[in-house]
Amino acid sequence: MTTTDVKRMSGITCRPTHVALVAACALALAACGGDTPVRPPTGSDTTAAGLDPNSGGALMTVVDATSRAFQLPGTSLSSDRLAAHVDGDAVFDATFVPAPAPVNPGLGPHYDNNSCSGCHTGDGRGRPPVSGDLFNSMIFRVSGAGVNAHGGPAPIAAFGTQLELKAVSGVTPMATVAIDYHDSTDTFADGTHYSLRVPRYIVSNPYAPFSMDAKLSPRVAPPNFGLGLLAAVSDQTILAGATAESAIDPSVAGHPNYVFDSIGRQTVLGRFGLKANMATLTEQSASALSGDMGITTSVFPLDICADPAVSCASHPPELTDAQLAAVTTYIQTLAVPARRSVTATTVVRGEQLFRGFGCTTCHTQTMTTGTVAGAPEVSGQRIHPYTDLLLHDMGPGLADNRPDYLATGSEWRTPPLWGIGLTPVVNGHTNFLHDGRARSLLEAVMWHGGQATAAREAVRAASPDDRNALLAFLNSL
Amino acid sequence: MTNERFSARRALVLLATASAFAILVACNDSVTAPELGAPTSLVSSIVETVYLPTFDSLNARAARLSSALDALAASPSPAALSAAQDAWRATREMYERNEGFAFGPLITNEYDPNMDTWPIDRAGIDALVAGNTSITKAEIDEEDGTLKGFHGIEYILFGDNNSTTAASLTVGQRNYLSAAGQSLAAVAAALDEAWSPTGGNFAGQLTSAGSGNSVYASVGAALQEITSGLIEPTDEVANSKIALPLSSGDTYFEESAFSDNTLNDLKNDLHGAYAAYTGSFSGDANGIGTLIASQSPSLDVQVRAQFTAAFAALDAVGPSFDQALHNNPDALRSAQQAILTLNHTLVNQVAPLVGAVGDDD
Repeated sequence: MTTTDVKRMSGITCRPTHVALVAACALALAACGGDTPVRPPTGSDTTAAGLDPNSGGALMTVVDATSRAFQLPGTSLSSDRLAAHVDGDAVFDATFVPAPAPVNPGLGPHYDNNSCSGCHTGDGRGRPPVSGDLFNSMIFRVSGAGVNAHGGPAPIAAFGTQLELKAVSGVTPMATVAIDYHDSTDTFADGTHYSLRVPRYIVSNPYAPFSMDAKLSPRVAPPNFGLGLLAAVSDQTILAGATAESAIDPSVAGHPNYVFDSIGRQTVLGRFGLKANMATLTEQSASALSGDMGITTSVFPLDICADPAVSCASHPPELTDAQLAAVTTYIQTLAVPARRSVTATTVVRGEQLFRGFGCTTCHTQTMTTGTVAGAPEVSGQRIHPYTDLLLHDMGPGLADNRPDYLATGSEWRTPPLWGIGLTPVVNGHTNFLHDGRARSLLEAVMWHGGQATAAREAVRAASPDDRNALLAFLNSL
Repeated sequence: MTNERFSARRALVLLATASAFAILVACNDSVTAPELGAPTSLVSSIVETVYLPTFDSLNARAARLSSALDALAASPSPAALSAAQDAWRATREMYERNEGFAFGPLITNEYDPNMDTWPIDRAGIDALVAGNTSITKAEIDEEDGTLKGFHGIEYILFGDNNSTTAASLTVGQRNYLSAAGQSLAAVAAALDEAWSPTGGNFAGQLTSAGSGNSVYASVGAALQEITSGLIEPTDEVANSKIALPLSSGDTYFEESAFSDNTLNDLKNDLHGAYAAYTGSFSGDANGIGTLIASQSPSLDVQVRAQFTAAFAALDAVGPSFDQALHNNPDALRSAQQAILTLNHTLVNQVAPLVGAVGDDD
């Protein structure tokens, strides 16, 4: 778990160097109305995942349906890559404490958790607190009016762009947050009632004046596996997906985010984060270390020190470049669990329904990754991520009203669905969507709005048997 | 589980047993599944004979620890201190045994970080107890794991080099011990409740594994979970809990440095793994080994012999991990090697065999 020579680490980055194969990201079916809920896949469709259980491709799929399903490395890593993965695993699991300390110093001064794995339990999905719980796997982004120098969210004085809810001894946490849920009920076409819980977030005890006009975006920790594969998808593939969506139906087409890359110091296509506001895995990792834990790196070398009581003095990075590279390699090489029960009749029918309802317009089933130097395991892989990595308007119900570069306040990046059926065994819950408000996959589906309205209405119109088949399919992912 | 640590280690490169395990498990679909009698009853036997009694016992002992800490806080005396230290070690014994099956609510309900976070924030605890004569369980409940749990209590209860005396305990420290003990006991009770068939019944998720079960959709998945669980401590003890102190020569990297209970911790880690394999803590019931013996009797004999050798090698380290670290590191290296040998057998032979069984339900 912790046993590798640090000298073996190399700084792997995750940018595709060229396009090997561009998958036909064309989407077979447009979203359809409730009157014709099911259309079978066409014979010429090459994007169907079909019976392929290897969601992460030949080299990055693992057969494991246990609590460890999201935290396993790809099956073909070289010994050096595996060693870096193991080193990164140790960093990912390390509990940090405030400096000075003999072991793992550097936490805070403000933070949301003291380890990566504290939020990303089992490399899986976070959740809102249950009664009496703390916000251990959920964070709150904030921003003010306007944009920053790069077009991204504008920080708020004394708070920056994240409300850190914990602080080291002697420092005041930035605020406390409470969630107040109320139920909103609705009905399927067959008369079955369902209920969605609508959250309201209440910020109190701010340690400095906090404007109620501040934009607040709650986020649960997203799963970490398969991200190396998504990093290996070429820009061209993603853009081709947007073009294909437009050709089919401009009203449901997604668009890419373009964001400032803090490492490359230029604006590039964003693909990570719930609004596709991060360009690379290294930046994503460094950003989380900084924002969620107060651990500095060469990428983000300054502690969050908006609090005047906190020293802003510059100091050497709390994580070395080698350690940052290792934790990035760890994330890059986390494999995707294989699907289960792919040949079951209900599951096969559920996939046809998923396509017929129009879900695959955004939840793209199949892509082929490009080539990443030094990372053969994620290169040239035919994968089934169920995302187009594009932004889509999800309607006012899900809006956080906090724009992030080109993502509007109601747009979100299509989240990958691979592995989603293993959420109960890995994380012990079925809370989904950006803030975990959905208590089941079906609730998550029924929260869809905006560009996904037609697909959602197709599900509403479906029979109970068809809804169950759809869920059987999703749970097989 | 949360006593993970990283350091810039330069000398020792022991390759990735956990990851190698993953690979083998991942490849198990290429193995022809043999017939097997009743894997479901095997899961039930392990849950009922090993898992549930351990959680019950952890709960009971944590309650006794809390009472002993309350008594110490109310009336510090050498006898009360000694009784509380004994209660800490007894509770610790059960917690380390549960490392052989550290999945389910322990992780998903965040009980583990609340009980067993390492390292601790010494300065933070010092600040917490300084002049604080009224700290409550509710306050401790809200604190990070680095400020409480087994190792926070251990820090105050034993002190550096076991230097705590009844007379040295401040009022703040006594209040902290009482509150932290109550908090720990409440988490242990919640863990027990979450597994209990009369409570959250996570046990039932395992024993009813199969089609329609939302957590374990096949008996194979449950067996795979149990097997991964028992392998984990063999990896962690060899590659982390022994390796880090050995390579650094520093007791800071020890599991339970203040109490010098580390050696007991390591033995109990292995006891938990052994019990899941053999079906009981005395090694005589139906566990994963039963399944292995039905497929490869010689492999089962080999695994049991390697467990025996690993326990013997830990016994040979002597009474104190601390002393061995400074005076007899070769004994630690021998123990590490014996556990690695066991680990490699479990990873390379046992896990693939288990993975080949049970998915035909």
